[in-house]
Amino acid sequence: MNPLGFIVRSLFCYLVVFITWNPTGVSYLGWLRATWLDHPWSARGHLPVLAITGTALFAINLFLLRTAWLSLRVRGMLGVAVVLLFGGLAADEAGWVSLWREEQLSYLPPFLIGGILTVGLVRSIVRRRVIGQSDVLNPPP
Amino acid sequence: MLGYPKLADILARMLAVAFLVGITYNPVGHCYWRWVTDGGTGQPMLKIFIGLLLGVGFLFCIAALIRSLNLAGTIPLLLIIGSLVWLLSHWQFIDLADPMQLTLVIEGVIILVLGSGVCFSIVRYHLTGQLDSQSLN
Repeated sequence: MNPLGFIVRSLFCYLVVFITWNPTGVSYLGWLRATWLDHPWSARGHLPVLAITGTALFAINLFLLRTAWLSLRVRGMLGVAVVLLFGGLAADEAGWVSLWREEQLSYLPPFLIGGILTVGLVRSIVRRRVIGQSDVLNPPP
Repeated sequence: MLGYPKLADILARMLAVAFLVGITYNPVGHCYWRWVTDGGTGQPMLKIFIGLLLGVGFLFCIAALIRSLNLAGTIPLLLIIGSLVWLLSHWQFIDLADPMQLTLVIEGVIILVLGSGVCFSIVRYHLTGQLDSQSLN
């Protein structure tokens, strides 16, 4: 995997996370809330589109989460979250972001989740490339 | 699948491990340890973040070492390196009574051990055709 592959995978993970939910409200969950929860009867025409988009997003999120869990397990995912959290705090200390403002703090959870998914997605590739050790999935019994 | 391990690939991995160890602590120049202990109380979050990144690097190398060499491989490796250090000291190429030289020798041993752990799976695959794998489920 070259650096471009890492960037593409990282962008893909963050895109999936932000399309699912982000603080601006322009996301699938924001769309779901605005059409179905706030206007249930008038949203009937949008139901098939909501359903297919939701199931596709659910499947992609499930794939990424399962990949991250298989690769990192809970301990690894927490470790990545801690490292990224302190990275965010270091950026705040340097003045690049201001995490103590609510509008910027609300971006922290999707940033952490996207980072965990990215590391989970690339870890096996990096491990195989750098140290030659492969991760194998056994078929279910 | 892994290709022929070129000497440059092995050297690059050893240099990366040497960089990791050297930037964490070295007695001759700038290092993370000196920055944290002598640099005052400024930038605490950045120091913690850099420390975590270095910790992840060491964990990666130690996990690779455990996976590829395990205790049965690490002990003979340590014996070989220890004998080499003893030989060099006996030939007076190094002076273990000098604290600076002793620190550099210890760092060299750590670099050789961790670097061997990082490289061994690739070398073993080339020599024996056996792929080091880990089951995820």
